[in-house]
Amino acid sequence: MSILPVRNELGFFEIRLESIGGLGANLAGKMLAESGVLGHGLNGSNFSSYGSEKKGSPVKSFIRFCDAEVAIRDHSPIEQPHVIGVFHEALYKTVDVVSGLTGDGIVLVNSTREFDDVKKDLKLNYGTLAIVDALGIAVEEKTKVNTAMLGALFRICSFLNPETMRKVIRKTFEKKYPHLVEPNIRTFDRGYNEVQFKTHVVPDHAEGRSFTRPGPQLGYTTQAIGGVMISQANSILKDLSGSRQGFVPEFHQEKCINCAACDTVCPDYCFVWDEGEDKRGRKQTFLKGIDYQYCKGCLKCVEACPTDALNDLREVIGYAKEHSVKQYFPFVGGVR
Amino acid sequence: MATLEKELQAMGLPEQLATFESGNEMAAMAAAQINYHLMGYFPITPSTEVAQYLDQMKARGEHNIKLIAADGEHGSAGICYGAAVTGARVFNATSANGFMYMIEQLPVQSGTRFPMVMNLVTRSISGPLDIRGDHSDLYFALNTGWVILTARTPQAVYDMNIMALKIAEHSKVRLPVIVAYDGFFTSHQKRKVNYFKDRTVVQNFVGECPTDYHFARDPKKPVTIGAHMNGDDLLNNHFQQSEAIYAAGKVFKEVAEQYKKISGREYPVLDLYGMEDAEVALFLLNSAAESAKDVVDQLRAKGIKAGVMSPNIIRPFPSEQIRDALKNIKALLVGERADSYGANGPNLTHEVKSALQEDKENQTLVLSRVFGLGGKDFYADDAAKFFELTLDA
Repeated sequence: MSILPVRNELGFFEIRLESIGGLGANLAGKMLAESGVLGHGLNGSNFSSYGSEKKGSPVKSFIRFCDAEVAIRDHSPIEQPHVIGVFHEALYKTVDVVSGLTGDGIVLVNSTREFDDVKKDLKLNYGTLAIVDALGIAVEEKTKVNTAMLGALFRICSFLNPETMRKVIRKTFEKKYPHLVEPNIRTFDRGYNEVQFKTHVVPDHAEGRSFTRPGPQLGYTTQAIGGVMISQANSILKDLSGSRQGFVPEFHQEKCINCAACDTVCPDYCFVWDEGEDKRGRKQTFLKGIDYQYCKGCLKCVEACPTDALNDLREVIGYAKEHSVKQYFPFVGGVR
Repeated sequence: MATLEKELQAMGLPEQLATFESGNEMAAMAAAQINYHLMGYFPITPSTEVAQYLDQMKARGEHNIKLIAADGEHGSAGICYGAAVTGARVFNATSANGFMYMIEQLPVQSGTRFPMVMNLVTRSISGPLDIRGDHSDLYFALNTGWVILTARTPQAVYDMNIMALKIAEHSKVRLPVIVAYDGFFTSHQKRKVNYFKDRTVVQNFVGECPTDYHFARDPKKPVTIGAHMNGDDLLNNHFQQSEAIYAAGKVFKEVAEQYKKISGREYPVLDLYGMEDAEVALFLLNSAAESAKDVVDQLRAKGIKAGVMSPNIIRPFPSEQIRDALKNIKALLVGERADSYGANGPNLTHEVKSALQEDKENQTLVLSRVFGLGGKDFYADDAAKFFELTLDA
């Protein structure tokens, strides 16, 4: 008797985690898969999308479960999952996170927003939406988002016993970081208990979401030979806002001494400067503000700031747009 | 392959435990259980974790391997060769450009006949840069004189790492061995894997490290290694080497048979799936062959006689077994994850074709396709498309 609620034609129950590098989706996928395989006698596989990912780039983690006697031969990424876990809400702007979700599938989103808003942004017409404030829980418990997400995923994958994960958490932390055991178990339990569900009626003959396998934009007749890139200003036109993990630096101009320690540690183009005159009429450069287009929320500037001019702020939607001071790059895209 | 723990115990085999690990973890585990004398290494994606896991295991006191971090792969190959000439048991792992950087020393080691085991976690060679999996590095290994085993799954990575050392040190072989597995697809994908609970089972299987060869070890028995040879002698040396690598093909079969007896897992020279009565077939290396088996099941359900063949060893190349397996195949597609630029087909296409030329009766039409470069995924529908090409042919 299979404990899996549904299976595809190859016998798999499939889960895809959508995240950005640094949130621990890879580890969460591993722990989830391990619990199914070693704790529940299922067969399974787990892997992640790899590339030259750095902190903040979109990543995916995949979990396949099947009954013990089913052979897993497929190595390819999961395209039509039964469950999708979105670790980072803003990802929907750049990635089709719900691509290929089966008709009766469940999407779990790390969010503080209302069901209808999230549903609208994900363009989800039916199926079950689950929301958990994983970041909020992690901030309160001083733990990580992935453990809270795992709690919610265990609630969704009701064939898995949450006690096995509590054991894994205990085993992972008790030797090296015993003080982290209880906060992590609390984080897991809160994710499990606080996740909210809303099911939108699945119409008869509902089909899963169609999926498209992303292909390259150029072909071998159109691509420049040798891999040369002839497009310019990539680093200026890019938008890094999707990489932020819930926090941005907040700038208080009146406390700023214009020392540029923030700009020295900033890996991007966040800090916008302007020439002016100081009290004695001498030419000086003053920090005008932050261009949040380039901010991936690393908060190195907050650490570097010798005064209280920069502090970290839990980002709410709209804040960055309202408070951005745009960079002046007259030769690309014109003056903004 | 999918033998259950209960069945294994019923067969009276040494106890095995199930774990959920990746190919890299299993390569490291096999090395730790063997307890090599030395690893000279320089990390490169996607093989990095092999040394990393061994380092962590060493910190926990799980093995005594001397881990020497080199200044680059050229240095790492030198450290390994230097240790091998003393008669030590030596282990290494690398990928792509790291492998290219060590390559000039690899024929030196095989030509002077010092065994060791190296894991080649296959990855695309730069130009342009791509850090994901294909076989462009592996194809440079084909002419190094090293025996090459190909491992399709994390389980095979563990098993072949154990078999590899026994083959390398065999008196008829005395050659270094590469275990090649797919970067990321196999190196980083976690699967359910069985391993021997007691490392002495592994150590007994590989046996004691042979000491009855000429090594640069005992100051009272000095020998010269790697001295200049004129053509007459070099030809003889290389004839011996040629005999040795063909012998490795037979030794592989013996070792695989012995390994089956302790593990319950079987590694034939050619992994054949649905080939007995197949009319169309694919020839694929490593992980892609596994993916294609699901498609064989689907095609067979529709009444199409399809099969997949995948070698477990490509040096020596199993020409005879390939000839036998292809006797009644109408069309074969050789899918390769690397090209041989300007050669009118990648390397293995030519080797399969030349194997078939020896059989005057053979009517198999051989198609060739390059696919999945730079980690491009191989989906079931890609395999289905390959089969379509064989059916249209």
